[in-house]
Amino acid sequence: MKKFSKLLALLLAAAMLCALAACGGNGGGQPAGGSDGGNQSSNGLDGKTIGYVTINSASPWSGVIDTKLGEFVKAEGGTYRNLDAQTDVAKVAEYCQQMIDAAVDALVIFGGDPAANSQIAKDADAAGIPVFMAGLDVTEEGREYVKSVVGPDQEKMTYDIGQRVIEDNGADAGCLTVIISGVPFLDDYKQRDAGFARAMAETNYDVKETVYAFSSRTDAKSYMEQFIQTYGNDIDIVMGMDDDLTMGAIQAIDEAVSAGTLEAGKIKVYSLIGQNDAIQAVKDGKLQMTVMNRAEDISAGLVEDIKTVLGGGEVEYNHYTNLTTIDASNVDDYLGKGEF
Amino acid sequence: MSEKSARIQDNRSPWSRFMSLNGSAVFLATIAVMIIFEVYLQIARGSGELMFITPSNLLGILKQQAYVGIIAFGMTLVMITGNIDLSVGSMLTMMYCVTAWIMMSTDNGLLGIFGSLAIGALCGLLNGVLVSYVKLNAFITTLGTSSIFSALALMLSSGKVLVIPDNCDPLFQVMGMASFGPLHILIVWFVVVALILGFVLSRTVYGQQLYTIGANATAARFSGIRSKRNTTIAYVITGLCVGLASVMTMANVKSSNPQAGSGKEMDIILCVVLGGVSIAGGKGSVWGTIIGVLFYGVLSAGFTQIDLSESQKWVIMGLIMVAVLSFDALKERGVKLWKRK
Repeated sequence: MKKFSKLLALLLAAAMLCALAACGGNGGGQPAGGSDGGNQSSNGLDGKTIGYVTINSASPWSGVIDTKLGEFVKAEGGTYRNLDAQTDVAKVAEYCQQMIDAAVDALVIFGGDPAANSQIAKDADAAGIPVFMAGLDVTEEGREYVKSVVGPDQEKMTYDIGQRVIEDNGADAGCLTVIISGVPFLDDYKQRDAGFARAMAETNYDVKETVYAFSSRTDAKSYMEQFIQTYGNDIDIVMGMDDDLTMGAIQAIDEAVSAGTLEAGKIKVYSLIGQNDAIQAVKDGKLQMTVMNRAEDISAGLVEDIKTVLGGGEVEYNHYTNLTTIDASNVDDYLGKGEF
Repeated sequence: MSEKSARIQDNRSPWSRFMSLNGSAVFLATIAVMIIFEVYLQIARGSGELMFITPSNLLGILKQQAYVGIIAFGMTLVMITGNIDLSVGSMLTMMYCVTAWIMMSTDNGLLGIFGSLAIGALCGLLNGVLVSYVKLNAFITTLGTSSIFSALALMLSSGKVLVIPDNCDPLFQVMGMASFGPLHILIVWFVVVALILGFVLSRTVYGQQLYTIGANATAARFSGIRSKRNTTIAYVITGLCVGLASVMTMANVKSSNPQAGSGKEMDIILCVVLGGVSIAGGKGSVWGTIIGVLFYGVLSAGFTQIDLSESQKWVIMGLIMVAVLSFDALKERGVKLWKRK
C-alpha cells in the first residue's frame, strides 16, 4: 500500500508538472521554455529572445495578447519566454528580475504596479535590455527607461464612451447610471473606470457606486438583477467595462422585461472590447455601442517596436493601437469579426 | 437512554435550545441585517412599501446564490469529515469550460448535462483518492489539484470566452432557464440538493459515519467505519455538486472564460463555516449551510442595493463575519455574553 501511495503521489506531481507545462508559462512562474521558432520564413528577430511578463494571462483579452505575441515573435524567428504572475502584483517585479537575470534581448511587461515597473525599467536599462509596456504605462520617473507603451488609451476610450452617452442623452438629463466593472485592483480596469468617471463628472447624472464582477458573467448578471430590484425603471444607463460582463447585464434586463418588471427599451447599455455576442447585441438593438479593442493589435505593435529598437531605430513613446466604435450604423460590417 | 426520555429531561428554555443549534447566531444576524437594510432603504428612498424584505428580492437573492449554495452543500460533507476542498473554485471554472465546450461542439443537452456531472464526479474522485487512500494532506492536495484544474480550463478555452449559442438544445436550456411560477429553476435545484444531502447527513448511516470520522478518526476506524471510502464519497458528491452548478450556470448565462469561477472557493467555505460547520470536523448540518448561504447572499445584495463602494463592502462584510463567527465560537465554549440578574 505504501508503495502504491508513493507511486500515486509521484504520478500526481508529474500530472501537475505536465499541466503547468501544457499551458505555457501560465503555471505560476515556470518559464515556458520558448520554442526555437527558427523555421519561419521571416527573420526580423532571428536569434533574439523576447521576455514577456504578465500580471495575468487567464483573462480572455490578456490571454490573446500573450498567445499572439508568442506567435508573432516566433514568426519573426525569435524565441519567446513568458511568465504569468497570476494577478499577484508583487510577482510581476520578481519575474521581470528573472527575465533580466536571464539576459533576454527585450522585455515586455503587461500590468502590475506602475511604480514598481518604473524601477524594473531602470534595472533593465542598466542591464542593456530595452523595455516595452503592453497597454499600461509606468510612473513618470520610469518613462526615460521605457522604449514604448503599446496599446489603446484605455482612459480616453471610456471617456469617449462617456461623451457618446452625453451626446445620446444630454448632459443635464439626470440619468440614473450604473456601472459594472471587472477587477478593481487591475490597472486596465482602473483606467477604464477613471475615464468614464471623468466624463460623468461633466454631467448631473446620478451615478451609483461601481460594482466589480471580476471575470464572472454570472456575478455581473446578479449585480444587474440587484440594480433592477432596487431602482427598476428609474435606471437609464448601464456602462459595462467589458463585453462579457455587459452581456450578463443584458441577460438580466431581458429576463426582467420578459417578467414584466422592466419597461422594454428603457435602459441604454454601453460597453467595450468587441466580443462577438456583444456585436450581435448591437445588431439586436440591446446594446448601444461597443468599442472594438483588438488585443492582437497590441501584440503586433509590440513586435513592430521591438524589431525597430533592436535594429537600432527609434520609436514613438506612445504607440496607440486602433479602436473601432461599433454601433447601429456599422454593425453589419463587424458581425462575427470579434476576437472571441 | 431513548430519544424521548432525553427530550423530557432537557429542561432548557426554547431560546436556549434554539441558540444551541448550528448557525443560530447567523440566522438571527440574517434577520437583523435584513431589517437594517429595509430601514436604511426606507429612510433613503422611502416609498412606504417594503423594499428589501419582499418575496421577489428574497427569491432573487436565493437564485443568485443557488450555485454557490449547491457546492457549499457538498463542501459541508467534506468539512464534516475534517477535510477541506480548496479546488472547488478552479474545478468550477474548469467545469464551466467543459460544459461550454461540450455544448459548443455537440449541442447535445443530454451529453452536456451528464458529461459535466461525470467529469465533476471524476474530479471529486481524484481529490478523494489522494486525500483518503494516498493520505496526502487535504489542504495541500486540493491546492495542487486546483492548479491542475485552472490549467485545464485555460487549455480548454485557449484563454478565450466560450459562448454557448442562445438557440442551443432546449433540454440544456431548461436546466438554467425554466421557471415554476415565481420559483426559478435555480432555486428548485438548490432546494432539491439541500433536501437530498440534508437527508443523507441526518437520516442515513453514511451521514452519521461522516460525523464520527470528523469527530475522531481513530475511534471511527476502530469502530469499523470505512473512513477512506466514506471520505472519498464525500469528495465525489462535492464534485457532482460542482458539475451540477456548472450545468445550471452555463444554461443560465451561456458564457465561460478561464477565470469565471476563480476565488469562489473562499465564498463557498465562508458560507459553510458561517453555517456552523467546524473546520476541525465532526460538526455541522445542511440546514446550517443554508443559513450561511442566505446570510452571505443577503449581505452581498444589500450592500449593492444601499449603494456601498467596493472597499466599504469588503470592510463591513469582514467585520460582520468576524463578529458573527466570534459570537458562535464563544457560544461553543460556553461563554455567556449576558446573564440574567
